[in-house]
Amino acid sequence: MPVILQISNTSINYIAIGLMIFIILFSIGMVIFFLLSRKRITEADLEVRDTQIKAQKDVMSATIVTQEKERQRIARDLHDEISAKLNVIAMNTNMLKEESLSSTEREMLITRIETATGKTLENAREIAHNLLPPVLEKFGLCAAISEVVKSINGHQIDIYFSCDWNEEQLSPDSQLHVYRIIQELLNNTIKYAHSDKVSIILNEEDEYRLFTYSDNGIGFQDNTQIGLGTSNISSRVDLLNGTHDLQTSHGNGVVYTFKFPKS
Amino acid sequence: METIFDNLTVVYFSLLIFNFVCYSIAVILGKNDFKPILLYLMSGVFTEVMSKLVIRDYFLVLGEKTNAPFYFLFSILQFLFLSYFYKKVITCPVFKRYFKYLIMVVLIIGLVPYVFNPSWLLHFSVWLPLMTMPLLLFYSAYYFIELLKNKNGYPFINIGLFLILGNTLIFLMTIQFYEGVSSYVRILLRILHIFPLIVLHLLFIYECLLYFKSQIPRSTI
Repeated sequence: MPVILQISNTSINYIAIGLMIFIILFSIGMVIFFLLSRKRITEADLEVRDTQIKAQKDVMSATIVTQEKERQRIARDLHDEISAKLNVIAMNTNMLKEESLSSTEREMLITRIETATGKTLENAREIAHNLLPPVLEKFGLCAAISEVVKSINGHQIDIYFSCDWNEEQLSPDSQLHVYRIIQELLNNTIKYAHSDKVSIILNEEDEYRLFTYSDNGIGFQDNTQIGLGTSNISSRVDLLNGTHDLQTSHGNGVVYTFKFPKS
Repeated sequence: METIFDNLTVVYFSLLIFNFVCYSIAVILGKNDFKPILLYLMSGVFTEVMSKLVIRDYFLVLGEKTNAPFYFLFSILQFLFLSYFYKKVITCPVFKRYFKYLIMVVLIIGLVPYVFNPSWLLHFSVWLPLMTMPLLLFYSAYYFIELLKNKNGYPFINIGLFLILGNTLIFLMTIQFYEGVSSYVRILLRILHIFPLIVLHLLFIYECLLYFKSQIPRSTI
């Protein structure tokens, strides 16, 4: 009997030794596995950060390009519309100094100056209006879009527009962003879409403001046609913490759906 | 083999003291997650010091030369402090909700036999560790799974604890079966018990070093 007990106890101890060695090896395996998985997580994090930096660079370069284009447009407007007319006014004013002019000629020059001054004023107002529409500041987003719609409506395009947004809850900056998005979409439709019907609907849900823009133009098929304008739209949507979705295919127009959180 | 064991014991004591110092500094620097580990190390140091004093005949416990009451106390403290550590680090809300009840139930089951047989306190008994360690092992395994999903945490402390708890559990179970076993096998078992303790403390040091490294301000140049 004592011999059997001795063998039995020794066996139990050998099993215990085996188990203890197994746990030690298992723990070493855990350490190695963990070190490797940490490395993998760090690499994945770096990749995500690289993508974010690239996206930020893209947005920044799009912003700079847009800014430059806008400056060029303003410079061109000032040069073509304002400077040219001011030159005419200056020239006619100089001619008025001539003492040999008859009263008829003098009156003709004054009429020219008046006409040029009127046109210059009109152009200056237009340029200012393009930069920041006063109606947006005074009467809010819905009225401003309504004005844009009226100015386009009938010129080959029929626009349906409805706005249920409570503008008082929107900051002036947010209103301007949405206004610019609509301007950009309308520009795209007019320039590229060959569309004759556009629908702009702004409505509200409990926690979101929704905005749907659609046209019946030629649409587009792939992302290669997404340009600076669309990238600007994305940047503005990001600034408003919103999301947007585009549904389009060749020959079926576009349907943009925007969703902005209220808070 | 005896010499190897003695040398490993010296290494273990040195690492225990070193860890105690490192974790004290980390807690002073404001690392609150390390508080339970510091308390666990403190209870370890206390138990080892008391055991040494008893072995060297500095005092007797209730007239007997035994360190069993200190190991009993260490088992309770180990369970409480490591549970506290896992409560701090495990994010599962169900675990947090039932944490108190689990601790109480396990402590009651673990301590009741000692109330009816106080003599167990003076003689080495494996009942309490066998009751408390499986729960700690479960926490450790659960936390490891959580760590695979999360980037932040203390994987090396956790792996160290898993190693020592698993090993100690097996080591304690074999104590009942020492009769007639060769002294070499017994020493091998003791070596296999002290070696994971050394690994545990090395992993603790590594985790603490990672914390100190994270505290060094990065150059902005």
